Amino acid sequence: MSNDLIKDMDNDLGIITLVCGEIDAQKFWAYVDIMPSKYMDFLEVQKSGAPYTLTDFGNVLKYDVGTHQPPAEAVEDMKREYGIDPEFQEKLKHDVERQVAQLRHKM
Amino acid sequence: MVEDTTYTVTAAHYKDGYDFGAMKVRSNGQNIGVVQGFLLKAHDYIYPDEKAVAAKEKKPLTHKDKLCGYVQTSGQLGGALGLVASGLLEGNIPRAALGGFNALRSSTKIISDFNAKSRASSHRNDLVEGGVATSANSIGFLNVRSPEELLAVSMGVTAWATKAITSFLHMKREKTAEEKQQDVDANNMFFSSREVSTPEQTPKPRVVGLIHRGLEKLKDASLETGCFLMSHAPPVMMGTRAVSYLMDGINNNDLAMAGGGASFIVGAALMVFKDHGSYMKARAERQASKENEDGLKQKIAEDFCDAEFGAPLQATLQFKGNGAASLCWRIDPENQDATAFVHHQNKSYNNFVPEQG
Repeated sequence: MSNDLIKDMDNDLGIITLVCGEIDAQKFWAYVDIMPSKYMDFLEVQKSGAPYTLTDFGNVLKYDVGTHQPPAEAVEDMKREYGIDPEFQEKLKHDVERQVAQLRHKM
Repeated sequence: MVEDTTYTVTAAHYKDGYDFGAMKVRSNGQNIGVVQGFLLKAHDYIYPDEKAVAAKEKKPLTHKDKLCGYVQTSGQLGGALGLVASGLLEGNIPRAALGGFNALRSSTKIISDFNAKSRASSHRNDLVEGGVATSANSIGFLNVRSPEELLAVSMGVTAWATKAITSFLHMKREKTAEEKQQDVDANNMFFSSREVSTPEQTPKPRVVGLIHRGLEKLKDASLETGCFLMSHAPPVMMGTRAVSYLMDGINNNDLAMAGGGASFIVGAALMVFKDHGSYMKARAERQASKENEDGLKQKIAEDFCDAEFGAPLQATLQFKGNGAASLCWRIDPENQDATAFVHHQNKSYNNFVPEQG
């Protein structure tokens, strides 16, 4: 992808991701608005297990420490303020699988 | 302890020109340390956010704002007294009651405007006033003698309802946007000065949604258009109401009503200026704040990009007695206004790490 296209995507789109980990030796959860151009780098650094600075990848919309599971109240707030869907990733995956199956059926 | 010390920044790690993971600091040609976790806010804007909110809340109304409000409300008061007189003379109790309510409303409005210290409290006054006035003005429908009077009462009720809704939208819009941004800034500040680790048992990241910034901009533009229309509609409606009362008074040889209508015209005319002025001022502030923030981000991104290639930037790093540190650097030496301020709220000096040797 060209740099301009990536820049346009970053300007127009943010990927809201629920991130878990440890900070100051405490568990935390955080909803982060990650720019598309940095999403793959973020996944890589998460997978590697190396320490990283979360704000290098995006803006932290909401967080709390002490647990990996955001409380229902925080999820509701995020639904209301940012329109999140906790099942978004699964739905997206199923949608892609369904479309692939449809294409195969047509072929 | 180091106080008000100026260092030359020769390299910086930056993220979108907004907040910084780490910044190397040099003095007399020597690397003397690394500053981590500074969060840039905006020109002349220092954390904590409560200070900024308090400053905004206390933004004073100008003398011109107040004077315009007093004359406008006095015009409304004169019109209301005209309605009372006309209602009493004709034995039309609903009209007199409507006038009485409006007279009371105008009097209390003068007092509340006199006491209003800021635009935010002025918005709150407008909201309460609009809500009460909408229902109370409906009394006028109970006994109307002419189509002009019917039009006048209808316009009065609609104008007040529109005014209440507009004040509510203004308040909600400004409050929501500010609160959202302040939350995100505070969260970023917490995370920008700390490293995150991912132990093996940690749940994997999950995508839970998308932010469509383009759509947000579109929504913002449509809200702005709505605000513009709704901010300008009430004065026009009030003007129509005033003229209708005047016409009704003339047609029915009712001097009290005609005088009231004329007085209402003064109030409505001033309302046009006042409401237009308020809208333009609020819009200009919204735009300036956004442009300032965007422009600053862009400039810092460019400057620190240069800095990474070795161009020096002048920075002042100040350690305060309470353990907080603030950093201010000159982005553009030709332009003093471009100096940005950074404030760090860490409780200790842990994030300023002197280099050994």
